[in-house]
Amino acid sequence: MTHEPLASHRIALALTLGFAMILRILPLQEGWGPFNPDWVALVILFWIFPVPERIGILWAWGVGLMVDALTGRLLGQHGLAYGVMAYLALLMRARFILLPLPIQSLWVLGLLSAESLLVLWTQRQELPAAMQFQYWYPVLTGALIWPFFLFILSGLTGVRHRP
Amino acid sequence: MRVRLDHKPFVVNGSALHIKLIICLVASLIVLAIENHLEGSGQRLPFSAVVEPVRQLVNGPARLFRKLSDYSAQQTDLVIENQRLREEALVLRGQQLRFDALEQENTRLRGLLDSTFKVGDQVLIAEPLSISLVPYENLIVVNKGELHGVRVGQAVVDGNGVVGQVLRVTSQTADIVMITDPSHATPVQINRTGLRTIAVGTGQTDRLELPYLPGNADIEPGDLLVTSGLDGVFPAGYPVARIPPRKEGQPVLQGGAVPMARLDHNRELLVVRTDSTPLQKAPADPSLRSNALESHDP
Repeated sequence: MTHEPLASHRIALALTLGFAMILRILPLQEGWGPFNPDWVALVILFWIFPVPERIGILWAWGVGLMVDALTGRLLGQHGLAYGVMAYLALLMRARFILLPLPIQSLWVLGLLSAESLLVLWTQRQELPAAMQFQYWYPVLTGALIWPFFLFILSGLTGVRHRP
Repeated sequence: MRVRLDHKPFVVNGSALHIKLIICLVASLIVLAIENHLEGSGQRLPFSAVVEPVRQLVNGPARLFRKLSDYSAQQTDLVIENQRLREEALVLRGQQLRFDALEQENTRLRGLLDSTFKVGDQVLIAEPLSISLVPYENLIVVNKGELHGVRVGQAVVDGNGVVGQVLRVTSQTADIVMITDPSHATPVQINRTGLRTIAVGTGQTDRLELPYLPGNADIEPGDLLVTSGLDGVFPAGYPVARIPPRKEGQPVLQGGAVPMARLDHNRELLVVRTDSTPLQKAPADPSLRSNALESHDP
């Protein structure tokens, strides 16, 4: 393979992941908490499309375990969810990177929905009735900010998604 | 440096993907099964040390901000508050003098009735960290953990009332589920009448519900609800909530109960370590009794 080695991006990878985790548990103002997107999932998607042979399912699984520990979930919840999400992303990688950005947002909506559904499915406690809708807000906001997210991170890290 | 995509195969190797997915699924299910098995005993897989720094990092700025605002407080304000706190401490200590005598009397009386009793509560001061784990869980994360003696199931109170109980513990922090969390139910007792019921969380920090009271129960606006101690988690007698004034045209119970603890604004919390090993019976001989109490480990 004649691409640039990943080593030069390791720092960027660690930094983006670190920031995503920080943003994930940041205490937001009273009304905004439920709208905080799953930054870690977005970062995984960001890195998985350009370098799939290094950033793959097992890597996503490991990150998922860390997020589980971070948010106090059962270990393996996000591992499963991120792993499956990574699998789905890799399956459609070829088509995805050629799509225009707004359409990409729709696919990201699907991917994040799958991920959230899996976390919900492995959850020990039922969601309270009042929170049923709120649980899906991060999926919506995540899909909405995907184009901007992609743009900003591409600019910061120098990793381009499109040929 | 840009990663060039046009030299990579467009389609990632399909079978390798499937194998990895299966590995991921199996590994996740194994880990989940282990965690499910452990959760009953209150332990978790020791993974949290890895992400501990992130929690501390997120909390850092909020803590710094609080410290700065403390430093910049006016001298006069501090003097006034100091005086107020001294007076409050004096009043509380005066009340405490009677408390010791009452506790002794209670111990003696219960011994006469042949009932078991707890010897005493110890408290540990903990500070809430400014992080938000999951929006739909009413959780507080505090800066004391297993190393400081915090255990799952311990009750947490603040200066005004019950806050919640310890849900999860890491070595340095603990997650506390509040009484207002929708999945949390607190056994309470109406202080005035002794009627026992259960207060359930609603997800809102200013409201608990009392769904198990019949409509004609003897309950009034202003009534205080205290812990009944029946669950073995919350020591009996701690204030939980108060019935708010009745709204026009609504039954009393419609308004629920308002938690006494300042769940939104507390800066210090107390983790209560209850010594729940019961003494069988208070010995009849007074000198024997004092020995029995002293030799008991707190």
